[in-house]
Amino acid sequence: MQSNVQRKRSGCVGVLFAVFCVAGAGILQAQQSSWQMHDTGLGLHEDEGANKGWVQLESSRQIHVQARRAQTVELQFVIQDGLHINAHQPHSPYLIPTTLTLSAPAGVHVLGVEYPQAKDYRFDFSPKDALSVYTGSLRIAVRLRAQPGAFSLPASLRYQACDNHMCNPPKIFTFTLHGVAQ
Amino acid sequence: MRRNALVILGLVVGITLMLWSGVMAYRERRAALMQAPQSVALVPEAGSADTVDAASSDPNSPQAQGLPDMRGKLAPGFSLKTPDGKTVALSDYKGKAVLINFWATWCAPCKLEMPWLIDLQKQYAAQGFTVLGVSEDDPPFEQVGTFAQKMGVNYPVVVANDAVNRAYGNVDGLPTSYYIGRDGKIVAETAGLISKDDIEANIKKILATKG
Repeated sequence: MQSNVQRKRSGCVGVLFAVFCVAGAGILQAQQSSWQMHDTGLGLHEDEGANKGWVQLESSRQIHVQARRAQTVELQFVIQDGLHINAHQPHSPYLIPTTLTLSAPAGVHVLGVEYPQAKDYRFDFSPKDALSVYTGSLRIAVRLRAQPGAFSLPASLRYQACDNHMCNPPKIFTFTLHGVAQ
Repeated sequence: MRRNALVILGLVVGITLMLWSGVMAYRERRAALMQAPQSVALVPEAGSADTVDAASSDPNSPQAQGLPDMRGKLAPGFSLKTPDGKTVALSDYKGKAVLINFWATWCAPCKLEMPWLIDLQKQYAAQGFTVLGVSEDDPPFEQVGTFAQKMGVNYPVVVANDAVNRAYGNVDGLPTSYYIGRDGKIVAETAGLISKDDIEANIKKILATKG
């Protein structure tokens, strides 16, 4: 009788194990599918897991600021070699400006965003037409004030990258800054 | 009792190992993708039309941009709207040589080649040739019309949709052009800005085809 109970228990454990295996495999598969969907390049959005972007955040996502004081946090981005992205204020209204957007949570106040000086870029085919662009490293300064405590600051960088022959579609790179104000 | 505890312990260790190996594999794939080169290479700016045609083995070819080699295939048909709402179908140009040019108002290289396309349209229209501009802009589409008018565009311009993008190999980089012969077959395809001479050479090829 006791042996039967033990066998039943072992059977239940076995079934549970199988369920866990299937669920685990399902979760991993779902994670990979989600990543692959981002990677198709069909959508405009990318995120920290997408890896398809032409601009990456190089500086830390962890920020430390003094509480209740206006602070400047510098975000450093890297633009892929050989590419340029439009300045925040491009020369033509048709060109897509590089824009950083921050969604400040309660207790955090974004006072302003400062973009660096852009460079003029001329195509070999048309030296007289200049574009105002960023290349290489891009530092954007965010001025903010935060109440004491930890906070998360979701951000997105909209940009449109080209080289001297081809333009890639506009992209929105989303990321989250994790801050502590003391 | 002790046996059950051992089974449960084994179970926990097994699940942990399985999840750990899965996560590690996922991270490795991500890292591999990070290191993979991005598709930004371009068609060479100089060279003959033959160079453009022989691009399939070139790392800078449209195929290297992720576009399928559609040469020799019938151009996928479509029916698209102009910025002011009129419908234009590819079949409207049956028997003509057509250059389908994917572009956008935010694409500086596209803007550079536009005056060349305008000149070539003027030069070859009488021989049964047309450029058909397909804009990849997002709404509002009025800006597409305004932009084209400002540039002096003398050929029809329509606005792309997902179906046409898919049909033409998920057009991503701009400009991208398909050269369609009078028989409706794709003769050449280019990704990125090429010289006016190369564009003209491809136009001559499609004009030489028979309907």
